[in-house]
Amino acid sequence: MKKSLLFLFVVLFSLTGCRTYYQRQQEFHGYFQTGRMDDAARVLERSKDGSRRRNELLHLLDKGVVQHMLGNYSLSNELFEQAFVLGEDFRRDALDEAISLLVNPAMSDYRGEDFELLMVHYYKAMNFIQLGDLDAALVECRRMNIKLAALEDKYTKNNRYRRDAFIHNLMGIIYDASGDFNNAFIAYRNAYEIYRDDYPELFGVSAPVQLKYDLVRSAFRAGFSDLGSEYESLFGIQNPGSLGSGEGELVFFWQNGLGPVKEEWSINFSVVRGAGGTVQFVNEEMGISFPFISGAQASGNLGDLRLVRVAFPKYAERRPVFSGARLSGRQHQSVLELAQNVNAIAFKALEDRMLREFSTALLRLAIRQAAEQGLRRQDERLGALFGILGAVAEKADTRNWQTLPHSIHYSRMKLTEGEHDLQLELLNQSQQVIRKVPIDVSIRASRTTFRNFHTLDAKPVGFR
Amino acid sequence: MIISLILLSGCQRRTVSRIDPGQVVDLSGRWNDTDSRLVAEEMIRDVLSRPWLMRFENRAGRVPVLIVGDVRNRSHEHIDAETFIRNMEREFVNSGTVRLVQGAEFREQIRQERADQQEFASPETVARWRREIGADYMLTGTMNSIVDQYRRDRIIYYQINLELTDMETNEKVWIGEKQIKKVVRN
Repeated sequence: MKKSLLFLFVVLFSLTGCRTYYQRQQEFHGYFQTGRMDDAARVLERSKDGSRRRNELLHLLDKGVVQHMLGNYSLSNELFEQAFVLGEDFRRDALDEAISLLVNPAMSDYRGEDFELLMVHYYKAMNFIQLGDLDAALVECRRMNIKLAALEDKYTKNNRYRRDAFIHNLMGIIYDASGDFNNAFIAYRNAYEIYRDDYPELFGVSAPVQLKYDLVRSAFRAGFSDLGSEYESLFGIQNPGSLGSGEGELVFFWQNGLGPVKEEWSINFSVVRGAGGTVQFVNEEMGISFPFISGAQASGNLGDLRLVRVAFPKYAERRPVFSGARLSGRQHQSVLELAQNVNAIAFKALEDRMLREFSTALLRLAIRQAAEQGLRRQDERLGALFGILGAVAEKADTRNWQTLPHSIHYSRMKLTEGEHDLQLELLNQSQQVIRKVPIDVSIRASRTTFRNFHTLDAKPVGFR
Repeated sequence: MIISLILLSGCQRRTVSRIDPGQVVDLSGRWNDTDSRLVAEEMIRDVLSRPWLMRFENRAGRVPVLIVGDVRNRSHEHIDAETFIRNMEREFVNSGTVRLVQGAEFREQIRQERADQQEFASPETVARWRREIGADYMLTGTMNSIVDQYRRDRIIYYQINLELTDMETNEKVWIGEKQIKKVVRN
């Protein structure tokens, strides 16, 4: 029994390296960031990390993005659909939880952040639209709606990420394209209210001007002229009206840079024994003190502890090279407006959860210490070994979806029917064009054409 | 201890059980199937018990023909007006006191099919043109909502307004209103 237990520990602990998830995926990211998608796909196929069940979701998400970038929209959607089902059916597995508490959280199944699971639908909708299946894109809209409602219900506090304006806006744009102006209006209005109430403070994003025009136009088109006029005077704009004959529209999404990756940081705590079976984890430097009430079986064991290290995850930004962009053609030029700051949402989501991260990390610590003491009483050497392995294994979960963009900008453009050679003009901080990317679109009259383009240029982690 | 830990985290198995569609289940407080059904039933009961019906029958000597038009959604939720409209249509038809014709979208589909029949169906089974029944009245409506939230409490208020309009005179012969108010505590 003891031998097998020891064996189990050694196996479990030896599974954990000391590199972060991003560092372990270096080869893939090297290809991905330089746009060599075929190579990136090949690396993913034979990735050892990806073949593990606990990383399956992330693996599917990365593969989905790569296939999307390669233009394999059907395959990309198959992968994202699998990721969607995995995210939906996620259930806490007791053994999984136990391992995560005994060893470290990187050993548990990755379940996906709320914003990551929502972004699955962005990619799926884009894929379906490129495949010309607007009905399927509308199914994604309904799924987004269900997920948004669940997210809003999950949390009650307002000053956190619980409402996603961009996803509402995206739903509106798709409903709009399908001719369902009533639902488009509802989605645009919800999006506007969230951009107004939540986004400036939480993510530094305000309501895009385009959204205001879309809101006004959809109100009139849905037959709510009273609301349309109300928004016209509130925004100080005029209803842009419907498309003229021989005119179509382009909705262009620009995905800028790369989202953050996760790194690890740790705090050392000294453990102070209190009265009545309580212990305190104290870090005087940071002024943190956590009381921890140990159970009856553990009491007396936790007391003689020394210094212990606890690891936590943190996000590290990969700053984008471009700070803005314009889409210009012979007929028009339009500035792409910031609609979603994925980077800021990631930081905020982790910040919102930090207290919980703290307490599970401390619980992990306490359980491991108690287990060590328990083992020591039976066998001093076994206990000591467990203690050493535990200290080595202490590690934060540094996994996240690392192929997401840093931010998403968009614009809507009226164009005449036919082929158009547009230029995506990428700007630096002083608003100078530093690169031009040709964008060819084919516009059909009274239709909405969608395009999305991802510029992968980003500064390395920690580079300002 | 490991075992106690496993017991603590418990086993969350997913269960699926089938229930009667008529059963009232309120989960999130948002608009659901029960709201749709109750509003449709009550509204139709109301509209069929009002004097316009008898007046029409006395005047025309037959039951009126109705069409269900748009029910516009002005609320904050993406409500499927379709199920609501279908619920109302079912109540109308089953009441036996009015006749119902297809709305605009399906009329087009049927006309296409009829046009198709002119060419391909055998002469004795061809549906003839110009025999559609014109509606005497049109039912239209709006859905509105107000959400008030403070801390953990949320009040969701829905108001559904329906109107029956005379197709010839634009006269509103009936106005119905139904409110639903829900308190959600987190």
